[in-house]
Amino acid sequence: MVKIKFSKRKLVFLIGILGCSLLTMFMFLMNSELNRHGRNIASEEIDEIPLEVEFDLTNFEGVTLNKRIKYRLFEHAKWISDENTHGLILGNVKFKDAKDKTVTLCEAYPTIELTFQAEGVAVAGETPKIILRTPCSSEVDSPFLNTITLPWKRIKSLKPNEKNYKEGSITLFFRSLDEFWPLEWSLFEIKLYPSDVKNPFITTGYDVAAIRNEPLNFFLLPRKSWR
Amino acid sequence: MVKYLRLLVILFMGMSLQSCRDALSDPSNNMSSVGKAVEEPCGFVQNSYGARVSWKKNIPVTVEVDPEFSAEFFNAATLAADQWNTSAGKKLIELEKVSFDKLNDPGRDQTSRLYWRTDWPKENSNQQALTVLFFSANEIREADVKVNAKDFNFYATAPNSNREIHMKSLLVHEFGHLLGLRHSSAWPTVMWATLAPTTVRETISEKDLASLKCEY
Repeated sequence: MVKIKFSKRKLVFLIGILGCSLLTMFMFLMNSELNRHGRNIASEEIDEIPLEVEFDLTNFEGVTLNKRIKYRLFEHAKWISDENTHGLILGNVKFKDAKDKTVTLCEAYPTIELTFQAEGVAVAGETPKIILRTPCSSEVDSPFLNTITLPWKRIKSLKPNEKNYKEGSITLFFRSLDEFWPLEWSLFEIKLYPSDVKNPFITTGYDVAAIRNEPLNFFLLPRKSWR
Repeated sequence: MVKYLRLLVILFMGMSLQSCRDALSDPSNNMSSVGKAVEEPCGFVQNSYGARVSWKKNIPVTVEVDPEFSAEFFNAATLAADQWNTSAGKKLIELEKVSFDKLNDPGRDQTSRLYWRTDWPKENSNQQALTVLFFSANEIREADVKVNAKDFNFYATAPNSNREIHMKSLLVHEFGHLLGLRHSSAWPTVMWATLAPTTVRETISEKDLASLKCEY
């Protein structure tokens, strides 16, 4: 029988290494479990599925309030489409403004500006953009803003290299377009302007991707009719 | 010794608990993580996930050149492509003079082309040239470079007037777009947005090269 001799110092060192290895493995398994339902964005970051955020945000303020407003805007956002028009439905919230008065999103920010970015196309190094500016409106205590419509039939009748177009209360700006209308678009940015137009509330397409686990995309024609 | 071991274990447990606490906290905290996920632009076009768009491994890019390019302008185009190839230390762009059906609109035919256009939209008559990229996810599938021969005159070696545009300089810039680069606000770079008549700007700068190296 061979007797192996360990000094006390070596034994402590070995137990230490073993303990560290087990803890590292535990942390790795815990992390994998927590992120099992997530997905990678730009192949790097893992997100959780977000919990639902309430319509009434009067108990929140500052950065937490801003983050929760973004969640409410996009959490159940959806496109409704027919042949001529596309519409975007966004979430609504009520919260306390700087004067401690409870207001809805549209009361705090009467103008909304949506920027759409063409998917899969770049012109002179820039992705084509449509910017739609319209009054923000919602019904009393509705969890959603009124549908914001993109008058696609009218847009298609314009030359892609037009710069601006106004129809009723909607103003459209076109940027970096070539001689054709790209058919797949995504929501790139939302700006909510207060009455004095200073300090708009800004949320980007990356926020959309983080909240919904994918960008908010839509097609202006059925895919098969693409060139 | 046992004291030290206990200290080590407590330290690691603390770190484990901290990482779990972060993951389980307010879901709206996730949004800050997306900022980290977006790739550094490096002067490249980015898709809606914030990933850089380029040809990835599909190089060299073969570009069919419109037969209406004269021999001296085709030579200028070849030199412009070589400027990028030499700077990158690898072949990125390859030109081929071929005849093709110009009646087909540029776009979505999976073939990259350099067009000599004598028709040009009146609204964009200030554009000397235009490059359009078509990409899927973060990979460019096609690039069309159009030269505005309707509103501009060009030269290869010496200008005949002070209104002519140096063809090689123009195409060095457009081929930068073809590779996925955006305009640059840094000076000096070939990706500066404007090129004045008779200006020669054909050398790939350190800044251009630093951008290029992010993808190629």
